[in-house]
Amino acid sequence: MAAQSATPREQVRNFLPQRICEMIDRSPLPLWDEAEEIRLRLGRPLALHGRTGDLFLAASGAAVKPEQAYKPDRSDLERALQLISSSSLYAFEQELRCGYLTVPGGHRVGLCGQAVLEEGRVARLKHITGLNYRIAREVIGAALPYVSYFVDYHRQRVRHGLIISPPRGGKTTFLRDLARCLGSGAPELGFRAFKVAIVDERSEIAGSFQGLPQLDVGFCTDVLDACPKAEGMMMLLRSMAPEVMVTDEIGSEADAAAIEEVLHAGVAVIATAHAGSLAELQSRPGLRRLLQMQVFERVLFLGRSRGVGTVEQIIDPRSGKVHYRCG
Amino acid sequence: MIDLVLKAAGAACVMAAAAAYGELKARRLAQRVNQLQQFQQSLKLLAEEISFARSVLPEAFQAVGGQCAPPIRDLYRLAAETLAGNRELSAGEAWCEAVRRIYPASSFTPADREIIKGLGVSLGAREREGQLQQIRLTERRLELALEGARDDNNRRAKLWRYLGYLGGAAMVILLL
Repeated sequence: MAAQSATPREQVRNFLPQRICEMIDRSPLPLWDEAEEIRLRLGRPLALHGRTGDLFLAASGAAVKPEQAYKPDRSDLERALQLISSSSLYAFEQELRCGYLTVPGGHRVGLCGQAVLEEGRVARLKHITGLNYRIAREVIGAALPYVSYFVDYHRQRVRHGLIISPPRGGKTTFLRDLARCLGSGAPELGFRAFKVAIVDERSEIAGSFQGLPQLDVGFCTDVLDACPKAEGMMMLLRSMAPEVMVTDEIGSEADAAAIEEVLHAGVAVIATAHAGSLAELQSRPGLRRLLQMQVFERVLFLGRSRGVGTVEQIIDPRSGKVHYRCG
Repeated sequence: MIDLVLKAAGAACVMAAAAAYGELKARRLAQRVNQLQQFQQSLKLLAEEISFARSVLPEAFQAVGGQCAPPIRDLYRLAAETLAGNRELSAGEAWCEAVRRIYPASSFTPADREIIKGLGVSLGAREREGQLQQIRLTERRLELALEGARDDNNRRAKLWRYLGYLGGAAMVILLL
C-alpha cells in the first residue's frame, strides 16, 4: 500500500500555514511528535491536543493560558484552506458538505463554519471559521498480538469480529492494523493473507487521498473510499469477492441489514462501534439485532487502563467465554 | 556614380525599415485578435476542467496550458508553476504574477491585461458554480475586447502598412 516515506510532521507541515508551523517549531516541547489535533479557530486561542494533554500556544511557541495564546486571524484560515484544497475549493464540494477533507498522508482536516442548505439538506459550508487538523498516526503491530483471536485456524477463515470502545479509544487505529495483518498474512502466526475489503466511509481507516490509501492496510486489501457503509459493502461484495469485510463505526439499521447480506455471502465481517460495554451496544437497535442473531464470534474491548488503545478484553459474546483479559 | 548608388541604397534601407515598422504594427493588431481568441478558447477548457474533471488548479492549469499555443500556454504553465512553487501565494496571486510575466511578450493591450487578471479574483476560493460564474464574466468581457480588437485590426492594419510605406517615402524625399 502507499504508505508514504515522509513523517506525519513533514506531511502536516505542507498543509498548515507557515506562521503556525513556525510557532510549533519554536516550542521547546516535542509538539510535532505528540500532537494528535491542531485546532485553528478564528479569533480564538490556537490549541493543540495530544496524548499527554491539551495546551494553548503563544506566537513565541510557549504553552500559555488561553487569553495569552495566539489567535488565528482570517488570513491564517484562508491560507490553511488554500493549502488543504490546493487553492481549489470547488474540487472539494463533496468533502465540504461532509465537513472534512483528507490530505496526503491520511490526515483529516475537520471544517466548521456556516452551513448552506439546499432543499433542507446541507449543500456546503461557507464562512469557515474553524479547522481541526487530526494527525493520522499508524501504530504498526498494534493488532498483531491479538490477530490470532480473529483467525479460525482449523477452517482457515476469519471470525466475525466487533471492536468496541468509547470515543477516542483507538478503535480505528486497531482496526487498520488488524486489516493490515489479515491482508498481508502472518506466516509466523500460521495464517495466509486474506482478501480484505474495506469500506472507508470517512477516509479514516486507510486515510485515502484521491482513492489511494496513504496508510498501510495490507497487500491484499481493497479500499472503497468515501462511500456510505451499507452501499459500499454491497458494491465490494459484488465486485471484489472479498473474504473479509472491514468497516468502521456501525450502528444503524441499514448497516445491520448490509452486514446480514455480507454474512449470507459467506464473508467475514470485522467492524467497530462506539460503546463502553455490551449493555451499551444492546441499546442501539442495529447492533442489538446483530447481537441477538449471534453474528459476532469475537468482541474486543479497547480501553485506557494502560494508555489509549489498551486491549482490555476479548470475549465470545455467544457463549460469554473470555478469551483474553488485560493484566 | 558611387554617390548615387549610396543614396539609392540608403533610400532603400529607409523604405524597408519604415515598411517593416508598419508591417510589425499591423501584425501586432492581428496577433492581438488571435491571442484573445486563444485565451477565450482556453477559458472553455478551464471551465471543463473545473466542471467535469474537478481537477485542482495546478493540474487544471497544466492541462489547459498543454492544449494552447504561446503565449497562452506560457500563461497557464507559469501560473501552475508559481502556484506549486510558492505555498504562501493564493491562486489569484499566482495567476496575476503569471499575467505580469507573460504580458511584455504578448500582443495584449493594458485593458486586455486587466481582463485576464480579473479571472484571478476569487480563483480557487469559491465553490464550483462561483468559479464558473467568474469564468463566464471573463468571457463576456473578453467578447467585448475581441470585438474591439477585430475592429482595430480591420481598420488600422491597412493604415499601418500604408503609413509604413508612405512614411518611408516621405523620409526618403526629405533626406534626399
